[in-house]
Amino acid sequence: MKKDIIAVFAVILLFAVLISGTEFQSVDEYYLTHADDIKSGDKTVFVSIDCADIMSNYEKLDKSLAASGFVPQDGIILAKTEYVLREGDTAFDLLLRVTRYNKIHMEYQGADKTAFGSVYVRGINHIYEFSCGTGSGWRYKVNGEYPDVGASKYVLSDGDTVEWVYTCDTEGGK
Amino acid sequence: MNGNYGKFASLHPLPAALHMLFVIFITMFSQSPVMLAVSLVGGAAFLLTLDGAKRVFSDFWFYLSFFLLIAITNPLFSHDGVTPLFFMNGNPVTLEAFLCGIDIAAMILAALIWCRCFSIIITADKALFLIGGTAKKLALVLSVSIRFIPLMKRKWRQIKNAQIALGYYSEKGLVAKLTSSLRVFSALVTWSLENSVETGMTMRARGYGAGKRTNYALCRFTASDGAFTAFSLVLAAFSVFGMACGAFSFDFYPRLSPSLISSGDIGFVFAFAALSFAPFILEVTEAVRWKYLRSKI
Repeated sequence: MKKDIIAVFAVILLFAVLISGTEFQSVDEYYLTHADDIKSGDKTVFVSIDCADIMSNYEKLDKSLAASGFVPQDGIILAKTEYVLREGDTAFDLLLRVTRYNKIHMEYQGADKTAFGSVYVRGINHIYEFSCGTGSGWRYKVNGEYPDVGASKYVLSDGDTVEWVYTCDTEGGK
Repeated sequence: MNGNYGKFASLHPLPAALHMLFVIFITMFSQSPVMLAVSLVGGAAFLLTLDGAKRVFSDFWFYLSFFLLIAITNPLFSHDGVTPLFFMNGNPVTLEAFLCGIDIAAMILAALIWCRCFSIIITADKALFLIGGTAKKLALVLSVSIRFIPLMKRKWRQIKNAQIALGYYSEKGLVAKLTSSLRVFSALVTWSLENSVETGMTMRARGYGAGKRTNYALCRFTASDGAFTAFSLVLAAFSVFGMACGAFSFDFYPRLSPSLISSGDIGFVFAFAALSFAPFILEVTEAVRWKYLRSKI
């Protein structure tokens, strides 16, 4: 009987460990993000989110996504906007802040769950990897070039332009 | 050959197996909540007539916890959907993902229940009869290996009793029970490996496989069997046609499809409902007729 109690206790402990590593937020709490007002002398970066590549591959687009109206006609989910750069911000930190501020849906896989040790953005605005063909997914450009590292490893500097682009053909984009 | 079961079990195994395989197949490939509900209710009703209420309700907690487990797991891993309920580690947990989880759980549960019905109706002897005509070698291998199940059950009890007599087996507490069972299991595995080798050698020594293999026909295919085969073939073909036309597709992401089923596709639903409920109706009418005839004696 003593061993039974220990077994039950072990299960509870395991459950507690799983729960304690998880952060729960209500919807309002999550979207209540403040993007700093731009003052003179602040370091800033430009961010845009773009899925125009879907328009040229529209026949490959997931039917239910096409019907949902989440793919804008011009492909612009977020027009190029200036945001304050906080100290040590990575490209992903900024994306997270911007999508929260603008109430754009975004799903990512944590850095601990991917093989390359950086977060992986699975979907923005309900447009997911593989939503438009087998080679489709989100990528990011900084100052017009694709960096060699994951978004949560790329530390931004003053005046950078970050473009999140959806590609329907990963091979062609390289 | 009838066993304790009614009309459906007394059908020729070919139409019975085909019918249930059609239902399982269509259930597994349809996403529409309407179809899954039809299949689930039809399967559960049929299982109730086969197993009896007492047996099914004793398994009820297993089915329920299985259902809830799958329904809750999906929103933890799938974060698409327009209605976030709350956020977990910065990812949305959405209503759509939860509903999709329920849908998947219903599909798996329906398939599970139909497979349970299948295993009750198509007993080992019928299954061997079905494949015996075409794959004689496979039928022999299967019958030998299926034979192992009761054999191992019996041996398990023997080993366990021996261990109890030796004072090795303890059932005090979960951990002690587990280690005791593990010891019995390891003895059982050793024995069964040895036994299977011995069986193979003995069979070869007695000349199994030396000549051409024959098989014994267990059942006769009657006119009513033919009628039932035609009935399920037509309905299944109609349902599969509806499936191919996309009548049973239902999208959860990013937004739920506006209607459960369009009015033009209602005919396909009725076809599938007839297919799913046919075994149940067959069982019930037979039972009622039997009761009626007996009351006149």
